[in-house]
Order: sequence, then C-alpha cells, then structure tokens
Amino acid sequence: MATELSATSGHVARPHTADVIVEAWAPTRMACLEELVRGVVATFAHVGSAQATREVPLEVNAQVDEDLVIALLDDVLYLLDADGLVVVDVELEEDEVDGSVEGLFRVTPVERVVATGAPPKGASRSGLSFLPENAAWRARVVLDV
Amino acid sequence: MAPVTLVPETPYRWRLERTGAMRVPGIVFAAGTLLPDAASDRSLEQLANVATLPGIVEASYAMPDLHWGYGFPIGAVAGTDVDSGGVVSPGGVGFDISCGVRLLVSDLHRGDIAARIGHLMDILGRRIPRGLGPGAVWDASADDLRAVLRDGARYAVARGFGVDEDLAHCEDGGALPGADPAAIGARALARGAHQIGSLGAGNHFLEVQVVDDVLDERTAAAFRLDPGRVCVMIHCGSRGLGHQICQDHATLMQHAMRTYAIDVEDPQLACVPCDSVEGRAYLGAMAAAANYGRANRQLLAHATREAFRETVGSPSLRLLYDVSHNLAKFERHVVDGRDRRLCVHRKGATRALPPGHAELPGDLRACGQPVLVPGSMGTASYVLVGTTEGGAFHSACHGAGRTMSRHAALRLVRGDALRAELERAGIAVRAGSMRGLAEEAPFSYKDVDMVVSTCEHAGLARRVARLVPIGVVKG
Repeated sequence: MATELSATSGHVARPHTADVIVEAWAPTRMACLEELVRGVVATFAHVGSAQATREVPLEVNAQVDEDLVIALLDDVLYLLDADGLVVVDVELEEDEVDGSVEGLFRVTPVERVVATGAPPKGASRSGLSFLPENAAWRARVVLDV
Repeated sequence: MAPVTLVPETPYRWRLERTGAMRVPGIVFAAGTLLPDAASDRSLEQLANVATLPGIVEASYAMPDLHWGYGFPIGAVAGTDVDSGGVVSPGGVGFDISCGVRLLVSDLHRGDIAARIGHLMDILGRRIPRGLGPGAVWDASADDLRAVLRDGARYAVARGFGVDEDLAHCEDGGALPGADPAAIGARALARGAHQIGSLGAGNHFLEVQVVDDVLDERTAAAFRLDPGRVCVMIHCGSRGLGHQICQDHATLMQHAMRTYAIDVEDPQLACVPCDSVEGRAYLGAMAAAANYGRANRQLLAHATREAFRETVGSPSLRLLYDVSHNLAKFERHVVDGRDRRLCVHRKGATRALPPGHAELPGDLRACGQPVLVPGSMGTASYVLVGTTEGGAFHSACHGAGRTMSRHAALRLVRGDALRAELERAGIAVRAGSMRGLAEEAPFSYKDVDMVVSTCEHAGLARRVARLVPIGVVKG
C-alpha cells in the first residue's frame, strides 16, 4: 500500500481487484480533498522533490459533494492527458457562502517525475464517500486503472 | 442487497435467483473453480444490481472472467429493451469506451524473425507511444480529430494508415454508426487531441505472438493461424477522450435519473432511457469514442507495420479482426419469442457472432466471428470463434480476469525481477515503468486456459488457436 500517514492527515491506497481505492483524511474538508489529490497522483507518479514549474488556477462549482470530488480529480487527469502536467501539490479554499471551491494546482511536466504505475482512467462514483468523521474529514474513491 | 446465492444449472452455468429489486435473474457462465471469492470480490452482488436496471431482459449475464468492478462487474453483459423504456448506462460500458483488441497475422514463422526479435522489439518500443500523458503516432489536427470521431478507422485508412482490407475485418467496418461529436465536451476533446495512436497503460499492451497450439484446424486454416505463425495483438481503447465522455455523461445522468423516476442500487449504474435526450446524447458521444478507439488501434497497427518493414523486410500483416469489449450496441435479438431491438451492454465481454451472420465479411462468414482474448502478460492469448448456439446475446469472455489486486501483485514481485523472468522464458519486454509491469504479473489473473475452456464448454465460443508472446510492449 502506498501510504503517506500522519496522525491528523494523510492518504493511503488500498487494494481493489482490478483498480485502486484511495482514502484520505484531514481536519478540514479542503485539507482532506488536498490529501485525496496527492493520494491519487501517488498511484501513478512519484513526484518526490520535483519542483512545480507553474501554477494552474482551479474553480469547481458542484451541486453535491460527490460531484465536487469527481470534478476535482477530473482536473488532475485532464492536466495529465491534455497538457502533460503532473500535479505535485494543491491548495483549495471553499467559499462559505456559495460552496464553490477555488484554488490552484502546482504542476510540473510529466518528464520531470518518475512514473510508478498506470494513471487512472477516471474516478468512480461507486463506493465514493466524502464525510465528516470524529471531528475530521475522510474521503474514499475507487479509481479505474 | 441480500447475500447472493448461486444455483448450478450445469457445470458451466449458474443461476442467481431473483431477489429484492432484481427484474431478471443473473446467469454466470463459469466452472466452479472460476467463481469469485465472495470474501474479496463483490462481483456477484454487482451482477445482482445490474439485474435491477429498467428494461433489462432475460438476465444479467457474467462471463467466465468475471471480477469485481464498480457499478457493473467486469465481464458482464446486459441487454435492455429499447422500445419498452430500456436504459443505457455509461457504467455498463466503462471508462475505456471501445477498449478492444485487434490481431494482425503475418506471413512469417517464428524462425523467420528469431534472430531479429530483439531489434524488432527495440523499434516497436520506440515507435509505440505509451505511459503517462499525451503523445501519439499521429500528430492529428482538429479537423482530423473531428473526422476520426465520425468515421473511425475508415478515416485513418483514407489518410494512408492502412488498407481497405483492414476495414472489412473491423467490427462495424471500422466506424460505429450514430456518432455525434457535438455531444462531446471540450474537455474530452482536449484529452483526446494528442493521443490518437497510443497504448496508454495498465493492462494495455502490444505483443508479438506466435501460434502455440491449434485447437480447431479448419477454422484456424481459414484464419491463417498455423503453428509458429507470427502475429501481433494490440489491446487498447479510446484513451482520455473516452474516459472523459464516460465521466461527463455519468454525471449528467446522475441528476437526470430523477426526471425518469429511476433509482439504482449503485451510483455508477446511473442510467436513462435509450430513447431520451440524455440517452441519445450519451449514445452519440459513445459511438464517437468507439470510432476514436478503432482509429487508435488502426494507427498502432500502421506503426507496427512500419516497424516490421524496418526490421524484418516487408512482410504482410493482415488484420484478422478488430473487436471491442467495452461497448453498448443496438442489436436485434429474439426474447420470449419476439424479435426486439436491444441495447446490449458489454463491459469486459466480447461480441461473438455466429457463423453465417450478415455483419461478418465474406471470408469469415462461414466460420463465425473471431473472438480475440488477450491473456495475462507472459502467458497465453486465444483466438476463439462465435458459435451458432451462443449465449448472452452472442457474447464471450474478454480476457483472463483479474483475481489479485495491484497492491498484492507488487508485494509478490518486483518489476525488474519479473522482466528478467520473462526474458529467461524467451519474451522480450519493453516496459514503460517497472511498477506498472509488476502490477500486471501473470499470477494476478485467472488461468486463461481455464477461462476459454469454460467459454467453450458453456457454448459461448469455440477455441481456435492459442498464442504465446515472444515480445511485449507495455505502458
């Protein structure tokens, strides 16, 4: 299992017969989603000490949390396929009034990271969860690999 | 969902009785030893969920390579009655729309290339784009992309990437009718813009194979498959374009389902009536992605022919067949004595047309459709042929079927050790990443010999020839 663990926040990849499950946790909603993004990237690339070469702004307006998770991970895969960019880090902020999420991806060209596995084709809604748990937030997603 | 119970009907056919919201039973084609382990694989529960889809007829079917997916299990077939409110579900096709296989048959035998296989694999390794991100055989323009979405492999051939004979040996003549590029979002187009002619990663591969065993001499002769014959198998799909189309339309349907009062057991089963605004939009986009997938394999076949020309002279590499195993198609089938128009979803299942079927090209019609079954890396692949009796709307398996997670595989073998083991077995490997290689270790899959044997015993398709790899290109 690929794991980045700490007491308060982290991510872990868990087995699934043909695919991969990524779980993430953190004290806040946005920190949890940031961990989820890192966990998804870790399934296919070792970003290690790769420096971001640019920042890409992001904005997600989703009706429900499931759509938010899907849209965010779609952004990660879009940058990889369309622009050849791997997300090395992410910062998210949620508008408390309208619930929209803004932030930025720090990215680097795919040539600057070590490919460690197959990139996901997409994030499934089956088994997807993003919920508060014991004064923290926890996310879980099945990736089609 | 209540625990699922299988009742044996024959040694190779099991019935999942209707319970709860199931509209039809489930039918599993498998030898007892191939049935999924309920403790680690929830595919039977998923098969029961598929049986709840509006308009489903006969049964939700499972092939012998059934395994746990998301929403639909992998290795599933479901037909819905289009004219009675039957639904289409992007989850019943999967992210990799028109993922499929093509097999090229050379005029060479193993001894003809034995001394040059290393050089051939080096050239294939350089010419076949794979792995992370964009990069493709063809630097296609926006106009090219639009034409590919409409005309699939036909456009690729018209642009010089193949010969007309290829198209006769592609499912649907290389282009699925009904493509609607306008139903594809900008993101999907951008993801697919620079990937026409690329393998991707995961279980996708290009293998140089030789015929290891002939099981049906008459059909094998018609397919030009004799012992030692060199072939090339290409397994890939519609890349980021297809993946994004699946996601976009599944999201739309997630919300549109309320309009049609549809409730599903699993969100990845989101669906709408085929004959609805959203259903037609998905089917149009899916057909365009299928065309992209066929063009993708056509471009890779072209690159393969170039590599053969460069290294082993100018041999013929004739296309035996190109067939998808992730697709939903309108087909006519007799159900309960009535001829009906069905939307047949095959997710990890291969169409297997019987002998005499009008959709087959003249030189294959008497035999039946070649069913191409890629095995796990380093073991064997098979060519089967459709049978008259068939089953599951004339469908068969699509591969060996995974039993072990990628994580478990990584715990058991390192990529470099696996590569050395394959090389010792006479298989030249050109891999994009060592971890990706280890994730596809052969022991992660069911025994492909057992899977195809079960297909034959169950009457779904008949074995024609067994092929083994001598060279593997992987992402």
